Amino acid sequence: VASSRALLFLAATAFAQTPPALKIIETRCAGCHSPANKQSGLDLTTRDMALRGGDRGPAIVPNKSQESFLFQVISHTAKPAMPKFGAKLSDAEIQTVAQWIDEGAPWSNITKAAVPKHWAYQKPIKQTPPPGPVNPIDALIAAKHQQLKLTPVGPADPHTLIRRAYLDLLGVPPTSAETALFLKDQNFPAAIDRLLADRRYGERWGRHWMDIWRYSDWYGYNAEIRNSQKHIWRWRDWIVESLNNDKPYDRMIVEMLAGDEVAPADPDTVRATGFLARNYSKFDRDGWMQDAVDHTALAFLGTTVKCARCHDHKYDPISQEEYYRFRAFFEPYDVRTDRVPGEVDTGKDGLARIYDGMADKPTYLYIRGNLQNPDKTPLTPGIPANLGAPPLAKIEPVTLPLPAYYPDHRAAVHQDLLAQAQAATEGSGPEPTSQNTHLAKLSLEAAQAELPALQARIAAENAKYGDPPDPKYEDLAATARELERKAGILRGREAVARAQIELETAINTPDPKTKKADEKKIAEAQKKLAQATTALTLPATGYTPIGKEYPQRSTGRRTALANWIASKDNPLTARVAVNHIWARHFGQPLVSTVFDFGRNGKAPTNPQLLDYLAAEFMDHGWSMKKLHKLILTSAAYQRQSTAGAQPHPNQKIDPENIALWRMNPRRLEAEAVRDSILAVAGDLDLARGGPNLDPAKGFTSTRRSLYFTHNPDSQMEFLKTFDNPNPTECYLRNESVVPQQALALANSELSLNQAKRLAPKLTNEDFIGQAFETILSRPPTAEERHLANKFLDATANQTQARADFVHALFNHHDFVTIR
Amino acid sequence: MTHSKPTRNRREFLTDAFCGIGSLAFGAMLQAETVNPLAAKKPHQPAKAKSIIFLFMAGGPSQMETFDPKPLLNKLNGEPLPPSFRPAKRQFINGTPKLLGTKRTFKQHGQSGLWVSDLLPHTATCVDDLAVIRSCTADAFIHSSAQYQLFTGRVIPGFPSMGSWAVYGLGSESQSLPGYVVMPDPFGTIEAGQPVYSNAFLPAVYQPNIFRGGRKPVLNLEMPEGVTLAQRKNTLNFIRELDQATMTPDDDEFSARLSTYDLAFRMQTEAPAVFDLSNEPEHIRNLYGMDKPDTDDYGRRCLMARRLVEKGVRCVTVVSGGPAISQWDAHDDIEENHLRMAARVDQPIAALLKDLKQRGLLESTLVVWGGEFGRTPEAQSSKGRDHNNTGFTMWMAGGGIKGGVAEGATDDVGLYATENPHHLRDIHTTILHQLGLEQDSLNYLHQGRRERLTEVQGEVIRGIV
Repeated sequence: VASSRALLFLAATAFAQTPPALKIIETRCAGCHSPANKQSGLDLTTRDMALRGGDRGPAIVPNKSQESFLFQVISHTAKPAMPKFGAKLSDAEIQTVAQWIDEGAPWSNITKAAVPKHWAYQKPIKQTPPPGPVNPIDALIAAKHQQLKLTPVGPADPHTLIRRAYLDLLGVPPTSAETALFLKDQNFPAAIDRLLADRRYGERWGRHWMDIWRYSDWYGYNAEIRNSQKHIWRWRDWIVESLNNDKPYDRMIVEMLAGDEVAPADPDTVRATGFLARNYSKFDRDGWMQDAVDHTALAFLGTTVKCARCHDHKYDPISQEEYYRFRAFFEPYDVRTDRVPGEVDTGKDGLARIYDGMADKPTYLYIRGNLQNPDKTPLTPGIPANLGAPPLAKIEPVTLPLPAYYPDHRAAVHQDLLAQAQAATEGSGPEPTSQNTHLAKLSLEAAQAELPALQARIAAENAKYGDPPDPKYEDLAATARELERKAGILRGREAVARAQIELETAINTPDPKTKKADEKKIAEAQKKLAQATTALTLPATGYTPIGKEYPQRSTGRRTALANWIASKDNPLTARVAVNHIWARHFGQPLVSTVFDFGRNGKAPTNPQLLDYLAAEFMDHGWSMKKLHKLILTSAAYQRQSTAGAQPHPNQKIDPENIALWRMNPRRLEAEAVRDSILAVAGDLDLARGGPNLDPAKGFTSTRRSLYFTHNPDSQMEFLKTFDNPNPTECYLRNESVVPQQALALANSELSLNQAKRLAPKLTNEDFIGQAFETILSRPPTAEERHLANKFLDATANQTQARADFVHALFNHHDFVTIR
Repeated sequence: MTHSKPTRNRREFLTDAFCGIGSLAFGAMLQAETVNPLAAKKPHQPAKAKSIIFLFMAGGPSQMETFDPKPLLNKLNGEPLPPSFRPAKRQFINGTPKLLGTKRTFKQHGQSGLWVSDLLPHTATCVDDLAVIRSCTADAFIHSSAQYQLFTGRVIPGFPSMGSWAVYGLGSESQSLPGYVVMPDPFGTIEAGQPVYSNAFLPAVYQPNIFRGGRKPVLNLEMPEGVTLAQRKNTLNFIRELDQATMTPDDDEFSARLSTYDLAFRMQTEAPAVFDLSNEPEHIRNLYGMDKPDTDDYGRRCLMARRLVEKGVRCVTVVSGGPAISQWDAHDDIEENHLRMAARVDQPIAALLKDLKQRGLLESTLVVWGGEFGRTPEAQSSKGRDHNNTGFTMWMAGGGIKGGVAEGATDDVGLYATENPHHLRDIHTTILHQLGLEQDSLNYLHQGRRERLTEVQGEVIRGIV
């Protein structure tokens, strides 16, 4: 609040120096001719825009008032007479404007300076926290409390606290042993260190960032990929690993946007570009580009650039041209799948990634966003200039190393191909029949010829791409050509034989039911036969390269963009990230519009705290783990989540708990509900990473939930019920309480089976106590113990009663809540 | 375009998601202003229809074989499109295609004398209740994009379907059934996939309940095997007692969860009876064609649709057509495809209209029929038809729609909508209008923009309301 008052003062000072003519323009013209309204295409809020003019041409010709359209319309010597609304300007006013134009139309950026600069476009200021509490977070929150006369509630009891930390950082509750370990010394900072070093942390927080970064497995129509990419799970694994390794957030941004440029020879880094590969859309390149633009800005900058696709942004300083210049960073990129060691078929496994495949593709501004109506002036890449960030660094094209532009020219790929060819010569076909013995023989002969041909092709390629190239290349290429041709002829013979057999079979065994299909088959077989026969007679023109070669240079555009975003001088990046992290610890962000820090978004509830966290984050190398620890060691994080059984005076002052006088209880996220049900019974499979799993197996597989296929077409039903993220976009989860959740917990196979599995494992004499500690991480109260005894005693069959009891605890509100 | 400040915050959302069903058991604990997002809401304007049943013919049925007779097309059979007609871009047809006459015979039916072909003899008996819109247009001629547009108003995924919009705008009349139900074709998922039905960015309470095939259409609704009602009641009581033992008065979410268990129990005891079609008398089941293999499946789903709207379900989509050749996508042979597809749905659809009418439900139920586009008058290969988004037919019935009316027209071969063309936006606007919803008022603030079903202004089709 204090800082905005200072800005108003500055603005007032600027206003005092404003030429009177500008004051007239501001009060009488700029209402309609503003960046937001732009009537007749004209914006009169800056000199540049006024000189550029609108649909009717420039508004001002400096030093020449008579030739200036602005003067002509306000003096009613030209149409349309202006101002359109209200009285004509007085003669004195018209004279003031004319004189000002004749003086060269000096501008003091009134209209810009008059609006206080938006908070999010200024660098975060790290204030020295007020003296008092040790943790600066508490000092900054205490200031709010004092201001509002709030008395914070006391700390949570150790059982609640350790459960909170486990669910929060790992997504599963502590085991009884883990709870006991903490209770021994109650050293919470040490417990936090243990949890942050636990690799389950990466899975828990990986899922959070997968929400924000729009993780989606591929989907399409049958086997056809129409959206996202196959094997995009490698990007998911990159996210999990990066978090566990505490990779600096600024580096993560760079790798996701430009991993192919900054570490082109390192497939582990290139995985990160799944962030952009995910936007792939088979039928809609423009939509693909829109997603890349919009979601890069939403995720990293908390900025809704998408409004500027059709017109200048109505709230934020982003012109339509700037929108398309931002798009130009992405215009050249395309997707591809590289081979990975051990699998030659990229349909089965591979590295989903991006690369600049269309370096020369121009970016056009679409007038009113209409694809049919491009302004054919190509736009160069650029960033919105008025977001308070420094200018973009020079874009330097990147020369790629050989394995990056020719990924199949890697020793591992060669080895895999040779192994495959070798295996083919060792032939293990079906049991021979008279027909396929002949075929098998031909096939084996072809395979035996293909192996040396492949070896020769690889030798030729090695010569060609050697550094320096091997002068024997021509000879090697000739050998490869010859061997390949021989192998081709043999393979051709096999094809002819196969086609002949198919043809005969189809002709000899007419079946009225399949007549139509058979006719088709016959036609196809005849065609194949003809093709195969022709192929035998064709001369070989060259050997077939081992794989596809891609461009040797990348534009470097995305690297420049990534560095601009990941800069300490960008006022948005760190703020947006810490706000996301804070939201997931406190169940409530500091800026409630997590994706919109612009003028249409909400102001931070505690700007000093947000700025402090952002500055601290950057000062400590963008380390998320350090930030987690800073937050978790605050008294604010460790408070109890309830005001207690009696009405509390704070509830009147701050019912929404905006000032954080207590912790917010939160509903567990979908994945954590399922994982916890499995974990308490000791059944959660902690295998790491790997290909996405079939969501239909969600009740039989015990892998963590983040490993199951998640895309708009296919999600685990159980997770859907608990507000799992919308894979198209989810910057903050919804948190609903609906009867379907009760049905899922009461009736699903998962909770029933796990109850049956867990109950017999609880063998302590104090069954009730053990069940509470295992499932809810706390001992029962006397009343709960009494109720439990009553429930157990009511059923004769104790095996059944105990399973029912465990099942009931799964349905306890505390089980699905972070208290 | 209107922009305004978002108002949602966590707590609002919680009370939003509260479901207001606290009144059932724990009313005293809840604040009075708590809002149930699924409670029936007042429409923006007086409503003609309470519910909507969308009979979705996936793949795109042909207008020339159903409701839009084109005598000239038969005369020009085998000829190229005369130069007086404007040619159109198609997905598969290239070069100069030849026109393909229809083998179907058209007759006038009912008092209104509307034309229907012999492909749909049962539907033909209901024409006096139908408003046939012969001048529909859409933007896309690829299945997936066109299906997105038909359901969500946009050619790309990521926007809420009309069913979700309807429940968002009007809530649900039923406390024990989902507000928005989709019954897909058992042959499989349509080309655009499940996202066409989705709530997208609308809150999860407005999501479609996609019925699974078979006797248990809703997941987790049945009592688990071996658990009796008494046992379950006992467990639920225990859960409540335990929860109450540690509940504090400031925890809204806690009390909301308790109430959801009451509602869940109610759904569990009441809903399965609604899903059980064996309660219907034989003559009704036969009316829907459940006694014949061809019509059994679609008839079953149409009957279920009637039972659902009877109980206050807001929106039911009954899909005819799945992937590839199991849909109305007659590229190879229009006759083979449409005879096969029509034989499955014609009788059930007529039965649905008649059954709704005899129960007085047709007045308050808007029934909409159509695909994501129609088909070309030009032949693809020799006997098939390609996609046509420039002129095709849909119909509406009930819910305040005029019966026995033909709206708009295509040119003389059925290629372009020429008279009163109606973009899908107009269809959406009209559907909303009948439900008492106004396209601009029904909006949702999403990332700084007030999104609507119709995106840009659509118009109510005045000729049929």
